[in-house]
Amino acid sequence: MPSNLVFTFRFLQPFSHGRGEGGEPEWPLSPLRLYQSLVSASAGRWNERHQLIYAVPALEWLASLQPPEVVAAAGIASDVPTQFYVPDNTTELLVPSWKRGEVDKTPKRTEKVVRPTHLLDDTLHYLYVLPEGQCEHLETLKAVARSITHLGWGIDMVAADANIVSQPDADKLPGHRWHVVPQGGVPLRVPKAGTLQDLMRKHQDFLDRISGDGFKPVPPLREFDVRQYHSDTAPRTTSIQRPFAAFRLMSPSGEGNSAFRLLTGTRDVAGMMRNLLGETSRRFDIPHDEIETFIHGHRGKDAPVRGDAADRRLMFLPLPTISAYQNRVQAIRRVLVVGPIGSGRIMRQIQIRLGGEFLTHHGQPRAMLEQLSSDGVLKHYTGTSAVWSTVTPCVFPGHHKGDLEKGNELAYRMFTDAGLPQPVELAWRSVGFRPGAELANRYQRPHHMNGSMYHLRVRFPRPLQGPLVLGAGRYRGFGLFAAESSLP
Amino acid sequence: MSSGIKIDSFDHYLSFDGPAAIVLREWLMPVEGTDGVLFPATFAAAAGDGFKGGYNIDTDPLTGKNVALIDSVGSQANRIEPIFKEEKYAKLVPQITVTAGDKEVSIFEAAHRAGDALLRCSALGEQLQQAFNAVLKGDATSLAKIAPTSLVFGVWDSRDTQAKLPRVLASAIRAYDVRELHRSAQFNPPVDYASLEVFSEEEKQKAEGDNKNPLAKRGFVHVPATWTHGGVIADGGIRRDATLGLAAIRLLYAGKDSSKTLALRRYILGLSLVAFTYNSPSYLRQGCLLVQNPDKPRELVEVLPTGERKPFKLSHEDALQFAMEAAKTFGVGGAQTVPFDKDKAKKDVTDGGDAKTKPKKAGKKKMEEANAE
Repeated sequence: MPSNLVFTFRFLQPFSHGRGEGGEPEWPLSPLRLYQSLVSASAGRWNERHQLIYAVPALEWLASLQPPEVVAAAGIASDVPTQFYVPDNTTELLVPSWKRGEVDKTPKRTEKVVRPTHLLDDTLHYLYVLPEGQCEHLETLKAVARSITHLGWGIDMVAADANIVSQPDADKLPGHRWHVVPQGGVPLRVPKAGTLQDLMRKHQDFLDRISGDGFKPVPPLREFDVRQYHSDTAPRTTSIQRPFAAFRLMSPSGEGNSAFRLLTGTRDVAGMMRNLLGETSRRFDIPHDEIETFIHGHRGKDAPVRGDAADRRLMFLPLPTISAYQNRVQAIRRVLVVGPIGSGRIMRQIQIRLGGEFLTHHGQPRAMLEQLSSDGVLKHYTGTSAVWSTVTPCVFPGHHKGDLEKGNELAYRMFTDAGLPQPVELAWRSVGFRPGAELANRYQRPHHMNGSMYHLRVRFPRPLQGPLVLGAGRYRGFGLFAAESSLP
Repeated sequence: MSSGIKIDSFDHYLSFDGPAAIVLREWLMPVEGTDGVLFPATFAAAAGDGFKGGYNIDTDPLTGKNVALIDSVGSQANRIEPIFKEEKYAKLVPQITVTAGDKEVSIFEAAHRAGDALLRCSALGEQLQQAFNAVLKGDATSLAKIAPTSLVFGVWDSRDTQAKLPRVLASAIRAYDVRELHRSAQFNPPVDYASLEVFSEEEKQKAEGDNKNPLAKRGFVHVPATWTHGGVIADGGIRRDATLGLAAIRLLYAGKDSSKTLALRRYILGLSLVAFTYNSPSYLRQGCLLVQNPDKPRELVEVLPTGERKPFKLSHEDALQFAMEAAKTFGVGGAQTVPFDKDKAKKDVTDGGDAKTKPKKAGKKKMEEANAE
């Protein structure tokens, strides 16, 4: 009978400082982080500081298992990073000053940015399925788990344990459940065969990094996988907003705005923006072999990316103006380029380096890009709210052919595909929910984009931060939502 | 020792089957009362559109409740560790001091503890290097003889062996559901210096309100300071959370010698219990004098690996008595006052050259990688 090997962590203070992709707060903490803590604890537990021996079979076995399900307390990342200044380890440089009698001089300080995740409860569980219900390495892994002292930073103290738990009991573990999904979701690193050896290699490189020959940079860990994790219930707030670059569309002469009609502008502006990124891709730190997938979303002709990598690409979102007084959807005068989690650096490069560039159609300039940091219209799309409605219709991942139940199924699937929690209220129809939004089937879309199109209005169980975009056309501006009431 | 406390009284905490940690939650309040104003630490603004500077207050967007950092883990450690210089505790640990000209720096005040560059560039340098290398080989005895509080508060020998030991003790103070206040003030010079013809009326007009102006800096004109940080009122209370990680002590070894390992662990446990039960300093900064809240008693528990929590009781005096006995059995290292060694410092800079003196960019990148992992 199947059961689970469960590693349980209890945080002894209500914070976690672990960071994931791009240095952003990570919650839940990745299974790779669990694995690293087990490896480190193994060295301490059996005092094998140079070469692990005792726990190697257990750790290699663990890395060979399928990635675990994670059951985690709710975690909310701090609103903004805080800058601490910690003393540099260069006190000896002060001695000449001290000898001159300047005894109050203190060591230089270096910046350290702190951005914890606040935990609303204290537990984090990792559940590894045991199809046969057995774990020959339980005693070893239990001893290792109980020797783990920290998870995350050195101030994140934990009490840990490992047990075999039946499936019914595992189902009752309290917390938000995160499971692996084909696309969307939050990317988390997971161990694989070879991770243990790579960790030991990295540790030795770290010990040897400073020697009489100078400083040798330590190559990062290479042997691990990334899996997309999704939770239907976990709150999504500022912790996992996708990075973006925003632009105002000016006339090619730079005098005044450019405005694109709602019905054709989404298709046209997204297309022009995508072409511009393709032409200027060398200006950004996108690995050469990833340009096609990252910008165009395909590998080779007519071969769209699928699977884990499908969501690791840019979204091109033309933004219709929403008037301040009537909340009316109007023409398109802005555009947002949204990157996957962890691409903050590339998005900043795009923001800086594309200002002043032209969107062109058949060689003719149609608009000039002006960097946009913030304005009232942008906030409709990037603010935080529990209620959202579309300004451009969603392209459903299929046709329902009049079957309402099938239509609902397609509608809800879009949330899973995008790694979002399921809404508590959902309405979809051809007529827009906002003044100014046109009938869904009047929007002109790219030829290859199939599926029924509808406007949506949703209420999530908890506020989400935008940008929010759903459906099969979400990389090209279709299925774009605006917040109905933003939190301050 | 007081009745009931023996050298082996806490051995169950050192057993691998024992509790994972001891946790303290202590409710505090400003001396002025629970509704008094206290001044948290202020932090510099981050570059870009991020943190604007000021108090570190995080708001939960789901509930609207907030939490303010009053004293960080690092700051608390800097307040607690120096108690081992006090007469009452001084015999528990070796008193190590580095002299440089007229300045004397105690190891308890060195920012990086036993890994601090000042100690490495002293007559203790080789001893410390050997001690850290011994840690890497699984024997923390030498380090405990020189710098045992480094084992309590954590240490990283970042400029040499890279040996790292996690902290056993962590403490932080936070305030909940705070309301931010602001204040304004004005400096008024005692006389009108312009009328005394020290400078012209025009110069006075130009200087007033401009705190970068030399006349304003020197106190010759009116200088307002409006709408600046005015402290907070903590409607949800102020709490100090402290954790003593027993599991971390169990990872200390004296090589393969089990009886020496036990003596080492008892010693470090004793020091940790003293630091843990010590009433941490109540004066944190101007405007922040905190005392215990008599209406909310302390919560002190053992936390087992299963998550079960059991009450824990230990007075500071009993902790001290245990620590004294454990220290006597372990054998406290000798006190040393050593001079700073200029030649060692020069050699440290040139051996490895730019790599050692300018690891900041690479080091920062490594920290980012390490943090990301």
